[in-house]
Amino acid sequence: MVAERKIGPATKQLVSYLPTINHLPKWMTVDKCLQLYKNFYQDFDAQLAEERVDLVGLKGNQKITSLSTGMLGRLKIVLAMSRKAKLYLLDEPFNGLDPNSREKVLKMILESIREDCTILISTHIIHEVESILDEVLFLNNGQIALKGNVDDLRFQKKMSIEEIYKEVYENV
Amino acid sequence: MFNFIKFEWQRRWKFFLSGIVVFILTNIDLYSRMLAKKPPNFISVLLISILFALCASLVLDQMGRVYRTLFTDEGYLELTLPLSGYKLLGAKFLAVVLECIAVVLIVGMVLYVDLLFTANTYPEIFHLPPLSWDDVLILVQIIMFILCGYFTLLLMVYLSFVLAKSIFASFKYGKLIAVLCFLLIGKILGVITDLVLINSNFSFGAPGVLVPIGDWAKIFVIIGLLFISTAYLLDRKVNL
Repeated sequence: MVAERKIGPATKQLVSYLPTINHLPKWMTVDKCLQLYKNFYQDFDAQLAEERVDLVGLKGNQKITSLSTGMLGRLKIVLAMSRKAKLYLLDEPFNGLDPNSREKVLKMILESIREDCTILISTHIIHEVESILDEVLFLNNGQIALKGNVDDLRFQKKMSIEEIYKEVYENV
Repeated sequence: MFNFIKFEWQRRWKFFLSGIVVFILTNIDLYSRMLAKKPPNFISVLLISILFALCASLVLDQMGRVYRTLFTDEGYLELTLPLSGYKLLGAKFLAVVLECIAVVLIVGMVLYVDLLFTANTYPEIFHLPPLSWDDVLILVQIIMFILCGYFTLLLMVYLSFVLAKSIFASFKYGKLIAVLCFLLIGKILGVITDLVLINSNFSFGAPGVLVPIGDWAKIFVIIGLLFISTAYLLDRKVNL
């Protein structure tokens, strides 16, 4: 269930999903990807997406096959974060990105934060996102190993979230 | 749904254009050789081979469309689009139907032009017989019958893929079981077609009627059932 609704077209309109793998068809260009999102998602801001494509150094006529891992990661985040979704599911958004790209991706995530939305980031690169987290949830074999408010955890354990991460997964 | 058909076509229009060009070139080559009473040469064989390869890849592509959604990374895009399983499968299936109709129309038009040209060039040895409305109806029914058989086969393939990714997803040999399911569905449909539902006594006697309306209804029911069961599994039971 998402937002008290069965999973279906209505809930998919609420969720913006960024998978780790490259889910974009290889025959497409950057422009065609934007067009696809515009055609399918009512909440997709095409103008914002075009601005962001320029901002992250991509060109509309570039083919997906010609993009490097970093460029592809930036395009995926542009597509996912240019929607006005209620829930953003970002699966390893920093995977394979160089420090400059990570900075741009993080900036884009920060710009997309709104009062009425939730951003769920699944990542192993804690130090990049530690400053923007409200809540953390550590999973181990599908079970919750630790969860809580970021400030409370820092205060209780007198450690940074990255140190807590290392502690939780020390024996894994 | 129409956006998805557009998306499917954006991917393939170059392939179709090349297919049309190769088909027309092959037709011109063979037809001109036939008129000049020359045997086919290397170019003719090459064109026929390319055309055959394009036809085979079109069939394989049409069969693999649901496979790509379910078993490749593209599925993460297609199955997260705000479309129900029914609309997703409907769009894919409708795209295939339109492609097949387009192929039939193009092939039909080119062959008709050939016949017209022959009739005009050699009026003394060949003339186009007058085509009655009944003849057209018979021709349409033959084409529809072949296409319906192809669509049934496609839906059986799609159902097998969806079964492999839903009900049999947790099984170690899920794909193998799905292949067995495909054979089983084929067998069941064969039995239904032969014994219970569709009598294959084509009524050539009746003017303009090859397959009775009742049998058309049964064929469409079979296609509908295959479509609904595949779309239901795609909508509710697929776990990527």
